[in-house]
Amino acid sequence: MSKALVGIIMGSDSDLPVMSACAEICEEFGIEFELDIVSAHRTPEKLVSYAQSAEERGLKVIIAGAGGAAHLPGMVASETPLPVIGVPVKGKSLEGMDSLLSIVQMPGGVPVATVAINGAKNAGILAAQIIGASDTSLREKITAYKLEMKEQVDAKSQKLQKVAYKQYLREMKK
Amino acid sequence: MKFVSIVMGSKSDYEVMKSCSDTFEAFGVNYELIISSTHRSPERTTEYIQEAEKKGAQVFIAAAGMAAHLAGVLSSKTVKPIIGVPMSASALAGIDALLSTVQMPAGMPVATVAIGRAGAINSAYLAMQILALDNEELAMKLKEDRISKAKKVEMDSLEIETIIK
Repeated sequence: MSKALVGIIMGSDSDLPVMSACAEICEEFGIEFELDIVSAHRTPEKLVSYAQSAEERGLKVIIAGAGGAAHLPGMVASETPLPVIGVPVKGKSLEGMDSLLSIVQMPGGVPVATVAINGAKNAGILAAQIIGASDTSLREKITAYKLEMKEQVDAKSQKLQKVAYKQYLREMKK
Repeated sequence: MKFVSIVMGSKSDYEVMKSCSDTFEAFGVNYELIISSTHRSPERTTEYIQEAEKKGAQVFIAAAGMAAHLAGVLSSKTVKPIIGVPMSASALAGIDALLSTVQMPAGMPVATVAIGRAGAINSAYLAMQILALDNEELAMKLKEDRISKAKKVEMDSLEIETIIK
C-alpha cells in the first residue's frame, strides 16, 4: 500500500523534466508522493479513475502538469474533492500562455490552484504548505527552507558589495 | 480559532470579493476581511498578516488588480498557503494582475485562481478544500455542493434542451 500524500501527474512524459521538481521538493520535505502519466485526451478513463480514487487512496493534494490545451488539472479537479494544483508547462508555441489560461480560468465552484508557467518547484512547495496548514513540524521545515533562501540572497548581496560587478558577472558565467 | 483571512488591496475590490465572503457565509466558515494595500499601506499589511497568523489564520486570500503584488508579498511573510485572486481593474482586463500574481519566483508560491468573480468564488472553494483536509464536516458539505451543482446543470439544460427520441 502506498502512503503517498501528494499525487504528481502529467499529461505526457515530455513534462517530466519540468515536473520532476515537484518530486524533488517532496523528497526534500520528506513527503511521500506518487508520480504518473495521465493524459486528459489520450487516457480519459484513467484520468477519471485516478481522480475519483485519489481521496480514498489517502492522497491529500494532487499536482497536475500539462502543456498546450492543458485540460488535465481542471478535469482532475472536477472529479475529486481534493485541492488540485495546476502547473502550466511551456510548449513549443505560445510560451505556455495557452496552458496558463486554460488552467487558471476555471468556472466558479471548481478551483485549480495555479502556479507560474513551468512553476513545478512552487507547486511542490504549495502542496507542502497545504499539508502543512494542519502539520506544525512540516511548517517548521518550510520555514527553515525559506530562511535558507534568504541567507543565499544575503550571501550574494554581500559578495556584490565586495567584488566589482564585472568580476561578479564573470564568475556567474563559469 | 481556525479561520481564513481575506485581504484586498482596495475598496473597489470588495464588490467582486463579496462573492468570496458570501461563499464562506454559505458554508459557515469563519473568516476575516480587511483592506490593506502593498503599495499604499505596506506596514499595515505586514503587521496584519503576523497578527492574523497568531490568531489562527489557516489560509490567506489576497485580491488585487493591476501590478498585483499583494499575494506575493503575503507569500513572502508566511508559510501558510496564499491564494491570489487577480482583479480586473485596468485597461488590461485583469491579465496584468493575473501575470503578476501567478508568475512568482521559486520558493514563494501563490495559488492563483481565475480573474474576477469566478476567481473570488473559487478562492473560497480552494480555501475550504484545504481546510477540509482536516475537517470532515466541511468535506461532506463540499461534496454535497458538488452534487447540487451537477443537478443545477441538468435543471438549466431542461429549460432549453432539445432531444431527438
